[in-house]
Amino acid sequence: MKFSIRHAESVVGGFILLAAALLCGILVMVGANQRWFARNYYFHSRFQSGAGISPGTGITLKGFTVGKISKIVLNDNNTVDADFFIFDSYIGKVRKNSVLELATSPLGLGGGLLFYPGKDAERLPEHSYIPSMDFEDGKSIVERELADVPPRDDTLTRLLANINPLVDNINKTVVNVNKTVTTLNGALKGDGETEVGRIVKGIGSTVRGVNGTVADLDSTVAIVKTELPGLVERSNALLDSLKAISGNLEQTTAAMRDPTGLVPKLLDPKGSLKTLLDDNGVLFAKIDAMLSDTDKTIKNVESMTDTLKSSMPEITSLLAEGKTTLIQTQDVLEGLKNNPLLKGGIPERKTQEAAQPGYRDEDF
Amino acid sequence: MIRNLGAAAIRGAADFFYAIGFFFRVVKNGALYFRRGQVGFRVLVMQILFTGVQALGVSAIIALSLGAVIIIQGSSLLPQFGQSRLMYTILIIVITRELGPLLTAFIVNARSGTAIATELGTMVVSHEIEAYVSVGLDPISYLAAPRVVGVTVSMLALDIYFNVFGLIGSYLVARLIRPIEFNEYFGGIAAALTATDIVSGLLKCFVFGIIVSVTAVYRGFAVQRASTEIPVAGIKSVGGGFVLCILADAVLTLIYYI
Repeated sequence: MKFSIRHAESVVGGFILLAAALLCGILVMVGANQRWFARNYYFHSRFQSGAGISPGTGITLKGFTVGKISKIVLNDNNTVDADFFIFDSYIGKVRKNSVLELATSPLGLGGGLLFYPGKDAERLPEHSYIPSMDFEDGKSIVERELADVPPRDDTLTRLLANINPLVDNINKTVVNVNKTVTTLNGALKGDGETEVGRIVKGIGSTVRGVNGTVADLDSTVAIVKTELPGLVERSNALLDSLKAISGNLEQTTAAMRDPTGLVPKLLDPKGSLKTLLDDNGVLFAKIDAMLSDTDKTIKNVESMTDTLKSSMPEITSLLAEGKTTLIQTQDVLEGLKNNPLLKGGIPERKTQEAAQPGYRDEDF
Repeated sequence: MIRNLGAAAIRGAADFFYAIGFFFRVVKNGALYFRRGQVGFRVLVMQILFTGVQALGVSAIIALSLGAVIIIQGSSLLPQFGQSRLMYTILIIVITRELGPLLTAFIVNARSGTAIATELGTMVVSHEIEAYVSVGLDPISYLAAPRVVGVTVSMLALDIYFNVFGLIGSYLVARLIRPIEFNEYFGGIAAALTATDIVSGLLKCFVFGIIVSVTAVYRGFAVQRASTEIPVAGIKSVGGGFVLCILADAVLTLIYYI
């Protein structure tokens, strides 16, 4: 026989008892949550209209439900009498000069009953009348600031106040996105006025500048190449002339060192002066040759100076352009490094292999 | 033709009044069942075992699935409208008030309604009922009343389990798919669940239990002499039980909202 049939009574008893226990547990949970075992304190009030409230409508204090309406009745004066209760946990808030406000939504989305505790320390006894702000007594309490009424907090105004910054932010975002897209398009076209555009634009001009500089450098090198042999030749000639001058000066110095002296020689009729004056123009020829060499040397120096002078602006401009090119290249590289929109990086450089490899590269 | 129509109407009215009389007699015997002490107690226990305990698995699976589906759908759809708290209200309405009792009634009707009708029909065909009568036992008191009480009590218990599995157990299923805070969930359930919901669900179960069991007993006793009538009695028991439960549900819901 199956266990459940053999012990049918126990199984069924357990089944029923467990169900009853669960039901009791659920009821206790619901009761505790819905304050079946808590005490409520009853009060009454009066309103101009009962629109938006009904029995069971919550009474709130700063967003917390502190009580509920238990009954509303239209009385003989065409005003609405309302009975309500306050939860025991909030009964300390019900003090003298407390007021009620019937708040209805301007959009017709229902309403609610707001409770404002009085500033007086004296507590109101149960079943007391608490005035509402629909009547003069309630208004008077609020005007005399005897109740703790928070500043007006119009929901629509608050919503609009919250929405306006949002709309502003959205507008700014849209404008920024638009501007970014325009900038990006301009930058990609290379005619933008922004940093990216200028960078892209600068790349072209820089490349053109580099090309021009390289061309200038080539022409300068060519000029230097052509001028160099002449310069060397002139320098050699200048050195020869200087050598000759140096030899002459050496001879002169040696002559001056002669102990017989220059003056006796000059004064001696058979001396140097006579020789000087009566040497068939040898001295003159020497002086003339010397002057001629000096003149030639000076001319060579002048020519070299002129050549250097004429080359100086080119060298200066070459150096300046080189410097500018390096700065621009650095900017471009910085821009490329910082720009997340330019993808792909720098392509790998391939070195051009020589068509005819050298003998040194071959393995023996 | 008019004669036939009139005869059918008279027969229908007689059957209807007979059914009403039978219904009240069974209900009366069921209500007085506990006053008679141990008479048919074993029958009651076995009926609760078959109808309640053995249907618990099916009921739990349906409740878990239904609750999990509502939680998953509600927690993904309702926050889009800023009405997350409505999920608990929907859960209570569906599981506690409406579908819980109705699905429990369907399960019991499909399992036990047919079994009762078939069993009683077989007893009629095999003259067991006549034997009970011959020894002075009232078949309604000894056979029908414990079954009605057993089915009704089982329905009430199954509805409580259905609520427990649907509201609490489904949380565990839903948590596997969508993380929901335990405190948030049970706080929301406790705030949405009222005593009216619980009483409403239990009242429906009580009514459905009586309807299902009385229909099954009625159809079982309605078998005359042929064994071929037994399956027909089972089918009619299930069909009638479904229709009457839905009608009763509509009436009770209408009364609740009026």
